[in-house]
Amino acid sequence: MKASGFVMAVLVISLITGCEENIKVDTATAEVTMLFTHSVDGNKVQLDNLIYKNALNQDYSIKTIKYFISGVRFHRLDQPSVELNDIHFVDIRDTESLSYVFEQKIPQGAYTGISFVYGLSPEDNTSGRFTQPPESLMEWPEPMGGGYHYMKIEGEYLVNGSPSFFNFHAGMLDGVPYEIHIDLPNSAFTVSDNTLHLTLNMEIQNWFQNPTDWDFEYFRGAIMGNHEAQKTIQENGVDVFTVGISDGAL
Amino acid sequence: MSNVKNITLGFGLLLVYAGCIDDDIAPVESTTPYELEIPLGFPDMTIPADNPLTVEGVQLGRKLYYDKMLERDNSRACATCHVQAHSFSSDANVLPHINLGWSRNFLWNSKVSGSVEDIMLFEVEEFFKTDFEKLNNDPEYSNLFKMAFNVDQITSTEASYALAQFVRTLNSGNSKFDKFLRGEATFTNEEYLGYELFYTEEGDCFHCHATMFFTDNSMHNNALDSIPDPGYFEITGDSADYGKFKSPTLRNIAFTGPYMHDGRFNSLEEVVDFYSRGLERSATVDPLMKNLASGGIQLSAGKKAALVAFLKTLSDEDFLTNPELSDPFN
Ligand code: HEC
Ligand code: HEC
Ligand SMILES: [Cu+2]
Repeated sequence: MKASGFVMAVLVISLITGCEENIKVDTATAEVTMLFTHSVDGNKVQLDNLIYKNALNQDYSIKTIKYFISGVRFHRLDQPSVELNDIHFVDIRDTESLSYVFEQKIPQGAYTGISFVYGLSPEDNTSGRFTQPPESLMEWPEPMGGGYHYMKIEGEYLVNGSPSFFNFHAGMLDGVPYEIHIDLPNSAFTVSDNTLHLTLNMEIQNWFQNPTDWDFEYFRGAIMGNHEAQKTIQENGVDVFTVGISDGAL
Repeated sequence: MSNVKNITLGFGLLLVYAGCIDDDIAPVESTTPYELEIPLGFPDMTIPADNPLTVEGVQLGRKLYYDKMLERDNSRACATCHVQAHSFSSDANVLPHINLGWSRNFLWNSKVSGSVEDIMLFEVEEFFKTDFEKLNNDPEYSNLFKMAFNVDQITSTEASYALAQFVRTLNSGNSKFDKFLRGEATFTNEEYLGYELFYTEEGDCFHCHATMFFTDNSMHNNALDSIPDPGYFEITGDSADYGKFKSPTLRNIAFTGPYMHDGRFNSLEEVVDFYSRGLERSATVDPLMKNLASGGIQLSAGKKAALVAFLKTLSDEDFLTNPELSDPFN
């Protein structure tokens, strides 16, 4: 009994030292948590409800929201910016995906702003990069250039009073990258605590306006092979996101 | 008793420890590791640490799969309905056994989620109601289970583990389509047109019949009926899941008819006709079925034939005839 307890203890110790890298304790860093929220006209989106109107007064609903974010970068004054390597996949129907703790920590101090890539930059967007679902299910077919969708928003819109589905799917089409480089407005902050909480909100209405009013009847349901649609999404997407920042406990 | 437990615990930790250095975990020392060949271009298969493939386990699983003794009244074997020449499927709505090692949701309505071991346990306990007295009294099985799992008493756990090991070897990735991807075969013009239809939104099959497995392993209502069968609703009780079924794999689809959860279509032509003009509206139809309003993807006769021709490139004859997967009693 005693002997086997001892053996176990030794094994546990060797297990820890053998398997895990030594964890450096550095008090001057902050762990970054990002929460993902989604709104229409400023209110939390209600899925499956045909209650929204775009700038062209067309009725629509939202059923699916899935996307990648990557290349999150914290900019500092007179110092190199800090980039986090994580690629995170968000699915509005998967609550766990709506909160993400980044693997890397950032130094405490003053920051001038936050930017990120909505989607995947071309070097991250290679076929076979993701082997497990849900990420692997974002694949973008080889005959359309391969890689992954960076976004799937789906829902219904009304044409002459009857509903049709739309698939607002975006990705790199035939080698033309359409990911969106986003500089978040009002994102200067100072972190003096060991945690930083960011709430990234997607205002869905903005996908459908500024600079181009999205016409469901013109673009219709299927746009994956449509460069004009992909370009429009890329341009409209620039002002879709805003961020709320708090350090310390929420 | 407690001593025995401690020793096993210590041994278990030792194995975990060894696992940090390399991934070979062998619970039974005398077994021979089974070298699983993963088809080119497929991701690695996740195999539970407590059921690594062994030559003994896979052989035992194969024997069980083909043995009517597994069923309580000895009337059927798994292979009675899951026939190799039909990609381990057969008539009616029998789901094939192909590349299940990468699957997490099983049965048409996803009644069982989890590992291959979990679904095998379900099949042994709930479906076949295996009589383990019978197996335990059989000297040959006693011996085979002892060799594979080092147990004196056979239970549903070991039986399902053995079946799971065999089922993890039922992998198909050598169809004309795979050879095309590897640059070893060329498509005819018709097959290529079908390939483009499948993988663009004109045909729009890839969103659900996704990845190398031709399934996203998820639940959808693909607009078969205006009043659908309940499907996944039976499992979740959520009205949003009414009429949803698992997207089946399309590999070896030419051999697994009739099609759909109720076997309503006898040919691939009928299936493609359905996707082309036969869609029916109901409350839970998947938004990916975006041609619902017009009844389907509206393909011309030539394009329908092309799509069928492409589906037939997913046939892997090697898999259907591989002697290592065949009836060991023959
Ligand atoms: C009488 C015919 C029959 C026999 C015998 C039979 N099955 Fe099946 N099997 C089916 C049918 C039909 C389905 C689809 C049923 C459903 O999904 O509700 C199925 C589905 C399955 C599935 C799910 C596959 C998937 O993709 O989700 C597995 C696994 C399976 N069977 C394993 C077995 C095993 C193991 C045995 C032997 C212990 C066995 N079956 C015996 C008819 C049979
Ligand atoms: C929205 C997801 C979705 C899309 C898109 C889709 N399918 Fe399916 N498919 C399914 C589901 C779910 C089933 C099973 C439905 C059932 O039995 O109730 C199925 C069944 C099938 C089957 C029968 C398989 C079997 O083993 O019985 C074939 C063949 C098939 N689909 C081919 C296609 C083709 C070809 C396309 C493109 C024209 C396509 N599917 C598009 C989800 C989809
Ligand atoms: Cu898409």
